[in-house]
Amino acid sequence: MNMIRKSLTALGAVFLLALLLAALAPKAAHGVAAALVQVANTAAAPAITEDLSKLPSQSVHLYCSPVCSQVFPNGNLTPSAFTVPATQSLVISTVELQASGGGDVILSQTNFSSGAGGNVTTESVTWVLYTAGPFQFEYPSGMVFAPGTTDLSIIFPGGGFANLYGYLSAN
Amino acid sequence: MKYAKRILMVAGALALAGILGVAIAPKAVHAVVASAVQVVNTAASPAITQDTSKQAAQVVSLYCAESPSLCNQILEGGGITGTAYTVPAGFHLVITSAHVFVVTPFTSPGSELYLQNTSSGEPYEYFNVPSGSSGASFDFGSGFSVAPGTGLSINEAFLSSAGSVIFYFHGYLTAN
Repeated sequence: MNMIRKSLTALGAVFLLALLLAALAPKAAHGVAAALVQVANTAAAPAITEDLSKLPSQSVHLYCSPVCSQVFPNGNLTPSAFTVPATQSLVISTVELQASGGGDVILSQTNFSSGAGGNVTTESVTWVLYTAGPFQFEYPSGMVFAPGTTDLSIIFPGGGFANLYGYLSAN
Repeated sequence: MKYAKRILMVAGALALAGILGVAIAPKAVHAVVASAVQVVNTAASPAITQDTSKQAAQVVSLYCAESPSLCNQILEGGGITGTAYTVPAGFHLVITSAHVFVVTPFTSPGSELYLQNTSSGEPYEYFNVPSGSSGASFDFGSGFSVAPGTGLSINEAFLSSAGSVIFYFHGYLTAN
C-alpha cells in the first residue's frame, strides 16, 4: 500500500511539473502545432484558387513611347510616367516592341539612390533588332523593378513604341 | 507536508486515469487531431495564392556578355552587379528562358556557344548562332536547375569570326 502511495506521489509530481512546463512553453510551439492542417481537396472537387499575378488589381499594362504610362482596364492612359508603388515590386512578363527600324532598343529606368543622394537613371536591358517590325519577348519568370522605380522608358533608335505586361508583387 | 503529499497522490491518480483514457479512447478522437481541411472557395471568391516562382524576391535576371563571359545579375533598382553572379547557398536557380542577341554578326559558318558552370566547365545548354543570325529567344517551360553555389558563364564551342553576342537568362530561386 505504501509502495502504491509513493508511486502515485511521484507520478503526481511529474504530472504537475509537466503541466507547469506546458503553461510556460513559448507560444511559438503552440503555433506550430496549430498550423498543421492537410488540404483534402480531390480531382473531383479541387480547391478554387487564383494566382496573385492574375488579379486585375495587381496586373499592370504599360504603354511606352518612349516613357511608360499605365493603361487602365477601361482603356484610359495616364498622362504621367508610371511609378512602381512604394510597397510593391513590378514584375514584367511580356515585352512587345513595335520598331520602325533596326538597332539597339534600350530599357531605361530611374531609381532613388541614397549613395548618390538622388535619382539615378540606368540602362540595364538591350534588345538588338536587325529590322523594323513587331517583336514579342516572353519572360516566364519575369523581370523585376524595385518599388519606387519611375520613368521607365523604351528607347528606339529608329522610332517605335512598346507595350509591357506584368503584375505587382509585395513579396 | 501530509496535505501536499495527498495533493500529489491525487494528481498522480488523475494522470494515470488520463493515460488510461488516451489508451482506450476510440481512434476517431485521434483522427480529429489530424483531420484534414477542405478548401471550399468558389470562382467568385477564390483563395488567393502566389507561386514562389512569381514572388518578386525570388526572380533572377542575368546578363552575360561574350567578353567578359561571366554572368552578372540585373538589379531591380537598375544597373548590373559588378561581380559575377553565384546561386545563393540553400537555393537552386531554375532558368526558364533565354534571349540571345547578336551584336556583331558572325561570318560563315557562325558560332556555337554554351552556358556553363564556371568552376567545372560543365555545359547546361548549347546555342547555335549561324552566320547572319540576329539571335533568338528560348522558353524552357518548367526550366532547368542550377545548383547552390554555382557561378555561370558563357563559353564558345567554336567561333568562326570576331562576332559578338549578349545573353539574358531569366529564372527564379527555390529552396526545394
